[in-house]
Amino acid sequence: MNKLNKLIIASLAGFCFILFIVGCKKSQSPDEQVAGLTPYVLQIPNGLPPMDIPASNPMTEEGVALGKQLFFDPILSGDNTMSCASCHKQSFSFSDSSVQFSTGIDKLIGTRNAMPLVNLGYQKQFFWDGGAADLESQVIGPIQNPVEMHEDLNNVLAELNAHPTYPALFKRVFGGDKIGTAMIMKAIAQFERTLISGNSKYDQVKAGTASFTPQELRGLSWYTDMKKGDCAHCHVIGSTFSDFEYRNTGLDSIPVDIGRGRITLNPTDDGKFKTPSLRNIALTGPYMHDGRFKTLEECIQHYNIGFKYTANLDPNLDNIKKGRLNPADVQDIIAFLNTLTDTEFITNPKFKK
Amino acid sequence: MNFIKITCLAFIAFVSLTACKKKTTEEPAKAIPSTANVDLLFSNEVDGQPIEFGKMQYTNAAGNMYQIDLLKYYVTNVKLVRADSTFVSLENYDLINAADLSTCVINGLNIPNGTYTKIVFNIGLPQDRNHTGAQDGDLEPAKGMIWDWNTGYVFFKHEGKFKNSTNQTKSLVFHFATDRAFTIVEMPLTAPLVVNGVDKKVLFKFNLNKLYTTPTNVDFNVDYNRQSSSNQDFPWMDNLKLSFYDAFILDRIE
Ligand code: HEC
Ligand code: HEC
Repeated sequence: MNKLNKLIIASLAGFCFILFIVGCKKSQSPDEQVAGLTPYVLQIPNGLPPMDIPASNPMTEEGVALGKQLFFDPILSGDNTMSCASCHKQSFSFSDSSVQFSTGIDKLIGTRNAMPLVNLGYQKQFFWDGGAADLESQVIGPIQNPVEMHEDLNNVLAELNAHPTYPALFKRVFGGDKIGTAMIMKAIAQFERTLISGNSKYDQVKAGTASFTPQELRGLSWYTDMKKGDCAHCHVIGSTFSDFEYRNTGLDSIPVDIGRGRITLNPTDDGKFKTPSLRNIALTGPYMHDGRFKTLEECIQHYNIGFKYTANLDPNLDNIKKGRLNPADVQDIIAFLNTLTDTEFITNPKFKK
Repeated sequence: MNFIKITCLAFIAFVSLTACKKKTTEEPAKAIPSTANVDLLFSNEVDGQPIEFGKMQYTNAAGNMYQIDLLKYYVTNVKLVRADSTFVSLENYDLINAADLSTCVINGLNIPNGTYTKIVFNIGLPQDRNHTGAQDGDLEPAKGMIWDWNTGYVFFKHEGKFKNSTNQTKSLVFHFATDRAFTIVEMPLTAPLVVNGVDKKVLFKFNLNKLYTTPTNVDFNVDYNRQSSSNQDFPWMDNLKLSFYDAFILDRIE
């Protein structure tokens, strides 16, 4: 055999080998079809840590877009009049305007203040008491809650499955032939994880592109000073402005809403609530789980003089002197808190309907 | 040259045709298959009476008259255990709804031949499955068994009515939930399950009345609304856990 023949045989053998490999490729399973989607690349601002995305719900452009559409669609409510965005409005950092308690579709009002939706991907548990064990699971809460969207999940599924356009969108993102609740939960959670705020004046100062006024700087020092504001103990300074732990801040001698205790069934958790992030805090009043304080000043005065020595009171408050902040200190802290407002976040067209 | 080309083409054709053929070992005629399907059937009843919904016709051990409007529970992670403690796991998450017979059977597919001396299953969901609602099948949230304010599934529900001590009709609500409620039931098989290539059925009975007898009889006048939502429900929950052992009995194997 001459060289040419050897070459032909060798290349044919190689070709056969390739045929052998590709000929046996399995037909695509629904999961593999989903691989045809565009991965969503989260833009994490400099001051924030990387975000853990659950392996069970990888983010895609298509998934985020579907989640956004659902977030703004009243189809998820009992009488098709109310969407998530009815109580979570972008201009208020995705909290409800200035109302203490939001009104649901049956004109019933709730007992807790609507929470802002910001940097949710850094949290592990949701609601004031952390009752929702992941962001996906949170979604069915407001849909079914009688004082909110008051809808039966079976109705939601029937409406979506009979909709002219949703079935194809869901199929594209999640595969499968029928829309299931898990898909709604995953899509909305994907959209919520994109609601990232990290371009406040505080962030710009950290990045060296802006500087604090003397009052803001004083406010920052009271915020971290353990003998003054001591805010940083819980609303940790820096990226997320909370450690998201559950604490009793002494709002009532006997808590009306037992908060975390309702979840753990442990009486030592009664009156504890999740420490909220303070990003965009100037926009999200009224304050606390029950929206009892209209202004930041009232809120800070609570920590300064108002808190009650109740069972389960957080030890940091138990041990601190009352009346340690004078009125000027309080104003300084407010000035600092105002630097946490991110106007780019509340006007970002990516988050609009 | 032509000869080489033709041989090569023939070779290609041969390889592409045969490469994907599944390996099938020729079974000798009449050989016994090495596996079989085992169905577990749950027959729900009250002291031998079949369950009829919405009828005030049952009496518990404490002497309370009651009715059943809803009876559902999760049977998960069934294991068929051999005498040497090795086991076959079905990795199932099944919701048994007494009102729908099609839900009262758990299919064990392709169970390897062997002798199984014990069946073990959970009432409820293990922790790793209990704290997210983004799940399908019988864990689909629209099945109505998940709490949306404290992520977790209700493992067992009995809802209905009872006649109280002054003969008034009152609501009865038992919701057994949270990780504390997770219950493992072990059923030793006095006559073992022998799988030998032929499909089998294992029939269990679930006697609701037995849930309200351990360690003492539950009086519905005292316990009529237990939803696993406060630490005051703990004694009721802990008793129910024990009761599940008595509530299931093996009826027969077919
Ligand atoms: C009627 C007003 C209302 C509607 C509609 C509503 N929410 Fe809320 N949202 C609230 C209130 C009030 C809370 C706090 C509830 C609690 O702690 O019990 C909240 C809390 C949340 C949280 C928790 C945030 C955190 O930091 O823990 C998320 C996430 C959320 N809502 C998303 C949604 C989504 C998604 C929808 C639509 C499916 C929705 N909400 C619809 C009022 C509403
Ligand atoms: C012991 C921990 C702790 C300390 C110290 C603390 N906070 Fe809080 N903060 C919390 C918790 C927990 C909540 C939620 C309380 C509730 O709603 O019942 C909260 C709520 C708030 C809220 C309302 C947030 C909202 O979305 O409604 C503001 C504003 C706030 N804190 C500011 C401050 C400031 C300013 C300081 C320092 C003067 C401070 N906190 C000190 C734990 C703390």
